[in-house]
Amino acid sequence: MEQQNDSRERQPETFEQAAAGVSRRLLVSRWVRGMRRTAIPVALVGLIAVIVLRVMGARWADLLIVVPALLAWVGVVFGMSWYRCPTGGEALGVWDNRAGRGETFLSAHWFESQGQPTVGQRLHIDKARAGLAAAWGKLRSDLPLGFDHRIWIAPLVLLLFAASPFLVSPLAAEDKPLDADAKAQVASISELIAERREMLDELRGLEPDEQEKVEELKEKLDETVRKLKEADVESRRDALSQIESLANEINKLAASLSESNSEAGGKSGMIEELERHTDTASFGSALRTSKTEEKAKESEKLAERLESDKLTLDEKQRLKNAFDKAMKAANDLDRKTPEGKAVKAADDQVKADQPKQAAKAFRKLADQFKQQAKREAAAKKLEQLAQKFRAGGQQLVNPNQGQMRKLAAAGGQNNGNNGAMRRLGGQPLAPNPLAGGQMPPNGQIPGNPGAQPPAGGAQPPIPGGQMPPGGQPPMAGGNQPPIPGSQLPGAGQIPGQFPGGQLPPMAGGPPIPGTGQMPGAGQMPGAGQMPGAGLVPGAGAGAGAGAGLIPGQGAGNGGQQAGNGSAALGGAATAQNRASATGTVNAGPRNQGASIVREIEAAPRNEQTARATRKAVSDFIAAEQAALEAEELPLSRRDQVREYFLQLNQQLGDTQ
Amino acid sequence: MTIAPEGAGQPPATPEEMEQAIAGFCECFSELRTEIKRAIVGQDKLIDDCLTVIFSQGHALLEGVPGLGKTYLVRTISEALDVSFGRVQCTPDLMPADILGTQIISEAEGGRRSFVFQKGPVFHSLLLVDEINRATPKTQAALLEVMQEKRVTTGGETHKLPEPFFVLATQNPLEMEGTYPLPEAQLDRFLYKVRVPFPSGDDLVEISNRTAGFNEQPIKRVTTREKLMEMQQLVTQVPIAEPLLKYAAGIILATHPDQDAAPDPVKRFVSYGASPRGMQALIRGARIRSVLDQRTCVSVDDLRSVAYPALRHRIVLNFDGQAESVDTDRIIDDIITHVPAPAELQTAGVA
Repeated sequence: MEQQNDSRERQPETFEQAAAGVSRRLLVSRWVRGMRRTAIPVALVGLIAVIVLRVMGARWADLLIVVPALLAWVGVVFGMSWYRCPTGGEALGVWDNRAGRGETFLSAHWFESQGQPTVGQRLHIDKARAGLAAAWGKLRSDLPLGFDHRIWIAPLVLLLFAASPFLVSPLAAEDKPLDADAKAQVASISELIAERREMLDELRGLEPDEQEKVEELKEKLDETVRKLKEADVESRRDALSQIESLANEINKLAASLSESNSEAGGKSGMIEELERHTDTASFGSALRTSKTEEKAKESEKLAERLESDKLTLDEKQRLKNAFDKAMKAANDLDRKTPEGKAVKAADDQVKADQPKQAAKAFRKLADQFKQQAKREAAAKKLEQLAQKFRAGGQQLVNPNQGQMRKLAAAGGQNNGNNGAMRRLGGQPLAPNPLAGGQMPPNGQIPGNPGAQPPAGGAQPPIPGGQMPPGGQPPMAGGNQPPIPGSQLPGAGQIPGQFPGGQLPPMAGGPPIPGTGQMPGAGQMPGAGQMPGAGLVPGAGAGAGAGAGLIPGQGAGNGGQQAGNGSAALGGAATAQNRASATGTVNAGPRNQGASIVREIEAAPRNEQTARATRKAVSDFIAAEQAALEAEELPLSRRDQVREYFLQLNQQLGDTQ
Repeated sequence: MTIAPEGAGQPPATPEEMEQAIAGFCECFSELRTEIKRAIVGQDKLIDDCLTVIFSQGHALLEGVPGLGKTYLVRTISEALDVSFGRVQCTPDLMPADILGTQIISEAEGGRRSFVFQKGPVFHSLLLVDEINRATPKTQAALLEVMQEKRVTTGGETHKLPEPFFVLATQNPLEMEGTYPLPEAQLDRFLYKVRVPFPSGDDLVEISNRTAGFNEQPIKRVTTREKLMEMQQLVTQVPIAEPLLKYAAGIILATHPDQDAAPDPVKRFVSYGASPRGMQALIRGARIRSVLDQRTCVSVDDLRSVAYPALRHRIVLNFDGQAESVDTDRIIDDIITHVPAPAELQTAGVA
């Protein structure tokens, strides 16, 4: 191939042409050299990257990625070669250097580019041209391309590996193409969705533009139903995506309906004033709540009262007073709300002695509230619809979800497993879409006996068993919630599976005092686990029961003290001790100053003021006595004073 | 346009004439070398460098210990070239007038007396200034005009020196007592500073054999003054491409410690680098080398090979360099390694 390339290179007539040819040769040479130098490192890096990606579960680490990457490598190397490639005379200089000609052709190229070469330059050009023809034939040997087999072998190895299925993770169940069963299931869910379509027709209180959105929603629903029914989806995930998209649209509409419903703020001076007056108190209270129907009802009541012929003068006066004060107390925000406007209109009309006109304002307000109630109901319906669609979609990827729920509920009724399981991992239970297992009827969780339960945020101990050492044992999967009924990794055994209610020692977890795994340490009572704080001996248990090996414990329904005994799965555990608190004890009538007290439940309390009054009095008397001692008093008077202080001190001493 | 000096022939007008002239030059140079070697044992490089200086119309400073035949070499060259030879033995009491010449009172036949300029020894084509560093600075300075302008001005009159004119000076690097080191301005006027190496063992034996009879070998005249000047003109016609001129300029710049292109040893040990005369010396020397190598243009190797004699006396060491006895040839080595040739940068990327 190289020979063919060389044969295509014409014999240059000038050194400019020769320079161009040599420059091309150097470009290719540099390109090949760059590829030769980088082929193995690039292939190794690519190989490692593909392996790492595949181990991490990326299914797309194949030829689609590797081929463009290799092309990019070839392109980058070419670009760098082109960027650094010598041109013109420099290329000839390189050639001269490689051929050991000094700078013959380089100089000739430069002399040739001069307009009028001197005699010496002409002589050199002539002599150089004479040698150019012979030298051109040796260009290939002077500037070899340096092609090496590693240039293509290393990338080929990478390509073969990328094309092979080695380490490629299997396709997830929900990503597999739909089979007959799945198509039937998708079709059945489409029917379920189609059945719910009527709920969209039941929406009331919508504005015209919102009604249009509902119509668009219907069209989308029909389209989704059609796709699902005709199995016009690639996989279960695709079907779920369609349903999720529809549910999202429904949620958006529901949100828009909820947003448009204005509610009065809690800090309303107008409402507070209305609540103070007997005739408007119930109306004001209704406004404060979020119950729109209640608001409408109270508005109607007020309207009926105002338009009643039985409205007494006294009542009218009271209402007038209430409306007037309410409007005076109203802030700008209150005046802009519908109820504010209604109260303002009513206030004006009542002042104008037109109570029936005032009633109209409240009638109108009641109508507004009724409309708002309808919209809220519509939003609620939409949210329910979206939830149902999502639930239906979940059945696509987890067809046993319903069964599992039932089984989980049954397990909870039998031995409280469900409640405990829900607490596992500190996260609400959610069905695992990929799990297909079922919980056995006897409540035994299939799994690796003795393995560790899944780690979560605050993990209670498994009731009846022994708390796994380490509090939060490490487990693959991180915060993945446990799945009731499915394979629960590390779920271990439920009570009764091992003699004495102990689980076998768990691999990887260090022995924890109080757990029975460390000799002698298990005798410490109350060595339960405090949620989120690790094991604190004696500090009591959090939500679960302790795990000490004290005889008689481990079978009861919780202990008298937190951290002692055990509770059945789902049973109520002893409440956790409250944390310490601080409070202020005000001084009594005879004492001085307030004191701070630190309150610890179930511990002796010691409350005292900073300084007793009698101590203050005693100090005062002592100071007074000392002052009088310094006075020049008659002897008889002095004795009297001494006796006085003696008596006082004795009295104080008795009381102390 | 180059104007040929008086006595020199016309430069070649065609490439063919140029080629013939170059061949003649090589032949003449070779003959000169052979003839000189009949008298001088070994010292091939020294002979080539001296002849190069002569054909480049420059001056040379020969540095070597006494007894190496420096003076004899110069005298032999003068005999082979058939040019007039003058010698000045420098001593501290040597005055400028002693070498340039002086006005003396001359009495004509009519009894009329007048001042007449009595030419000094510089009025020879080949001037040997022996132990130049023993002359006082005043006397050394007198040589400045002689070497650069090739003329002597005294008593209001300017006297032109004969053409060709070249100075071959010697100095002893060992006996520094009572010497006056040549100033930079004076050193810069020497095209080459040539180190005269001590002969090898074989050469010493050969020297002993040749001088056993106390009879010096008669030197044959190889060329004439006119032919010598013609060849000097021919050398100036040898072309050099601009990339190589840039390379030469790069070498000169790299001798200056304040230049970015300077290598670390230059920045550390050199206080001042080569002047533009240094670049002229590089180019002129490289031209001779390329012609002697039967080539028609200058190459990078030519420039590199002449860099040592052309630059070693132009690189002024600083205190650190002098304290550590740094050899300027080592500095030039670093410069040559550091400065990339026109094709070297590109060659680095080629397999």
